[in-house]
Amino acid sequence: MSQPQGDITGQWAPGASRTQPLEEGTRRSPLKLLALGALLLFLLIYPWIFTLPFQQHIAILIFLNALMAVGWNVLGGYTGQVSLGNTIFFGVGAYTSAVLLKNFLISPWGGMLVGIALSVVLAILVGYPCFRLQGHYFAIATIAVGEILYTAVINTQELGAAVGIQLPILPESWINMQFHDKAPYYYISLSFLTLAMLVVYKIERSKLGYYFRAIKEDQEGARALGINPTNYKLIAFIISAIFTSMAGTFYAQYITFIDPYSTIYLMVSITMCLIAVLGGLGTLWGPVIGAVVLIGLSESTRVMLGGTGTAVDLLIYGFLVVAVAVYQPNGLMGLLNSLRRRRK
Amino acid sequence: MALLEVDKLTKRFGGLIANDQVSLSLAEGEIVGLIGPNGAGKTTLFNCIAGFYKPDGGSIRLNGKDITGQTPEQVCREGIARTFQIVRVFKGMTVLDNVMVGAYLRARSDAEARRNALDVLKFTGLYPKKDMLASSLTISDKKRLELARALATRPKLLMLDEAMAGLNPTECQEAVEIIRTINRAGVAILMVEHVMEIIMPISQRIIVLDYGKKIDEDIPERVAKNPEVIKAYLGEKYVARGR
Amino acid sequence: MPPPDFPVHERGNAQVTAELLVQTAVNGLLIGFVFSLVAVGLTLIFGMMEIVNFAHGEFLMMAMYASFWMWSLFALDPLVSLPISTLALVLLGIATYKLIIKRILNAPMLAQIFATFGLMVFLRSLAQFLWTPNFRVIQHSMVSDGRLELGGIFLGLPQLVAAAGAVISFAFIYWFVERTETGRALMATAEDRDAASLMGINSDRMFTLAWAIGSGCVGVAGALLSTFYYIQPEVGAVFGLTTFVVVALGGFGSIPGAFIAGLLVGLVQVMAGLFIAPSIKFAVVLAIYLLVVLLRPQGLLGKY
Repeated sequence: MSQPQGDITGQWAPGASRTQPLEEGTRRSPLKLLALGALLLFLLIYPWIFTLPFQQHIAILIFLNALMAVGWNVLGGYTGQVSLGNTIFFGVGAYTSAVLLKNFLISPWGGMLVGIALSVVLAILVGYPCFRLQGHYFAIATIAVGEILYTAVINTQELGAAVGIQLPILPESWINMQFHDKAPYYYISLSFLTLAMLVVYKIERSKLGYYFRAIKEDQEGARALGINPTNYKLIAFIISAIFTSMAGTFYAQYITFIDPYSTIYLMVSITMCLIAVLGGLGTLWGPVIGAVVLIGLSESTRVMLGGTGTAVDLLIYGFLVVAVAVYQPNGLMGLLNSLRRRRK
Repeated sequence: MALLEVDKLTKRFGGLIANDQVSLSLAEGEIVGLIGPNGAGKTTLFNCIAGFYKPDGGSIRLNGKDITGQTPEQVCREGIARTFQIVRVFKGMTVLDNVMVGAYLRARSDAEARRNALDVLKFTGLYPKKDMLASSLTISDKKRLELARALATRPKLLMLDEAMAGLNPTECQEAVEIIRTINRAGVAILMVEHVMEIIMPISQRIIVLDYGKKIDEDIPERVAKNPEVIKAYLGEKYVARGR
Repeated sequence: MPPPDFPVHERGNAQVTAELLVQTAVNGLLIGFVFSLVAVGLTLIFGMMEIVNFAHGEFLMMAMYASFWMWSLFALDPLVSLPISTLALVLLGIATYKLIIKRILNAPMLAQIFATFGLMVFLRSLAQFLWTPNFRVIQHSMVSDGRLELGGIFLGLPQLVAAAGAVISFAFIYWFVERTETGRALMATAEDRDAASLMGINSDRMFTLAWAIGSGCVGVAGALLSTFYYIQPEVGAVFGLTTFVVVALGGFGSIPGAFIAGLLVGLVQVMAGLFIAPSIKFAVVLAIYLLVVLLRPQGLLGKY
């Protein structure tokens, strides 16, 4: 099939980064399935091969960041609404489970569910009035919401204010979601990520996926086909909130310390977004690739440059995002796809 | 009962009256043409009926149900589909995916949506191109796609806004054939058109707008001879003398 | 992130006397003028090409650093080096336009958002990488530590000079846009790009000019602010967001709107600090943004 020369507006839609159409093209070649199986196997036995805590920590960071980016991508990549305030869900997830654990000894798993419920409510409260805002204005509005929530938490003693919350150290168990080793955390975060990706995979092929993409491509045209944009944007936002909230709860349990600076911070929102953009908007694997690249960058710059290196990874990242926006709007996934096409 | 009843529809933009007490009605399965010089208010009327504008006065009824002021998505669900003056397709999606978006409105499963979409594609002759990216289609095919997409929502009334613009004569004829076929399947058509040779033969009735008002409504032959209509398009001095 | 506390005489829970009220209001107005100046740059660019420069705050941060380094390395007073800072920012603005913005003029909104957004992250990280996150301060400049007293009200000299500088710059912009031919060509392009180019106005040159002027404003504001504000990589974040609020309140694309809105935001900010608490000033300002954008999208004087 000859590659049509799409105009730049076409390049930003997820369809353009696929070489085959959605329905038929998912006839997965045996090679692809084999590769997927191998990857899964590798991931499952990874903690047995790489036993150093540091190595497992890196993997956990990747899964965590990828999870948040996958969440962000549902609203941002597939539906085309740029939210720069998703950190609020991360924070709600983290704080809810932490407070419930610390004050009422409720299991983090229960805390996670409550956190998800609160995040969903928050998504509706924020989304419903804000989704009628156009692109830029919506983005800025989400930043504003994030900052307001940050201010609120910083000024609330019961939530630890600026000092934060130290999670109680409990006996190691699955109910408490606390472990001495990193391996159980590894598997939990891997499962969360896998779950999220499965959900997105299903969505891609369903009515939701089609409607999301239609809204992203041409909202008014979508309305003329019976699609209520606000409702579907809300659904995307809610899905996004759920994954991000799960990530927040996990983070609280993994690090056992949370404060506003680490959980309700603009940089958290920005990171999720950057990962998805670099990896490939509106694609399933884009956020994962983006997370691998980002964490890889972070760790290697930290090793090379010591403490002050923390900005270098973002420096490179920011530069790459600009390059992506200008030259390769489909991110790394798009690059991979076009390389594959050329080889055919 | 008529399928569509527009009663004294008025739409103002600031001081400008774009639609001035326009009334019209359409029966099921009719093809009605809407003509008038540029700026007469045809697209505004479309936008009011389709829910993109809120009328300032008057009412719109579909099968007796009042749909005045409904949102575009609600109007579509009620059974009115429309195409746009400047063709709109989802450029980054394939032809099939485009139509599926439309099909999902009424389909009760992914499989049903797909089936309906493929049927519509065959019906409009786009089936061979179903896996092509919409952005790579010719103008004529894009228009056909937009039509197919609208059709997939199973409308009772299809509103076409200058469907022939930018098409060469052959493509026009193809488009006319598709429109006729759609109409034969029971869909009423309300079309805005400038190409007289196309709209006159295909329409059962013609409605003429000028400066926001309806100035004629009749069978094509009589409209073509109406001095008011000729004056609106060509100016006073072209009104035929004694014909 | 809460802004470094504005060095004015704020007294938290003390009784609000008339004197305190007036003092606070004056402080708010003074900083408001600077907000207006920074905002006019952003609104000019937006009015021309409907692009929101997410890196606008970071431009300001760069200008402040420029002043700082010229003071630190060459002992140049910020007010003296102001023309150089301004020039540096003009060049930055033109470079940004030519290298990035020009290429995404017709790209979909997502691309436009990410282009300036990525630039924001890049500049912020660059500052942190080059100059560490440490707060810097310019001490003993020409105007630092100066204070005027007018009828019991204390006016910090740097703040006063900054406000005056902002007003002068604003007046210059206004004159330029209304009275010069180039300025009017600029406005014509903002109004209707195609009609303007049909009349022989080169859009590309107008866009470059808009970015030059917009960034120049930021350069002036940065130099002025550096005389009394902490300079650190994150300072752009707060100012950037505040600028968005000002532009939204004034009306995207409206220059007079930016002026009035800047003053209003300055006032509201300090009043919130006085009547509620300094730590929520910023949140109140952001709440203004949400209110404006949801209830009256065109702002005060905008053409939304």
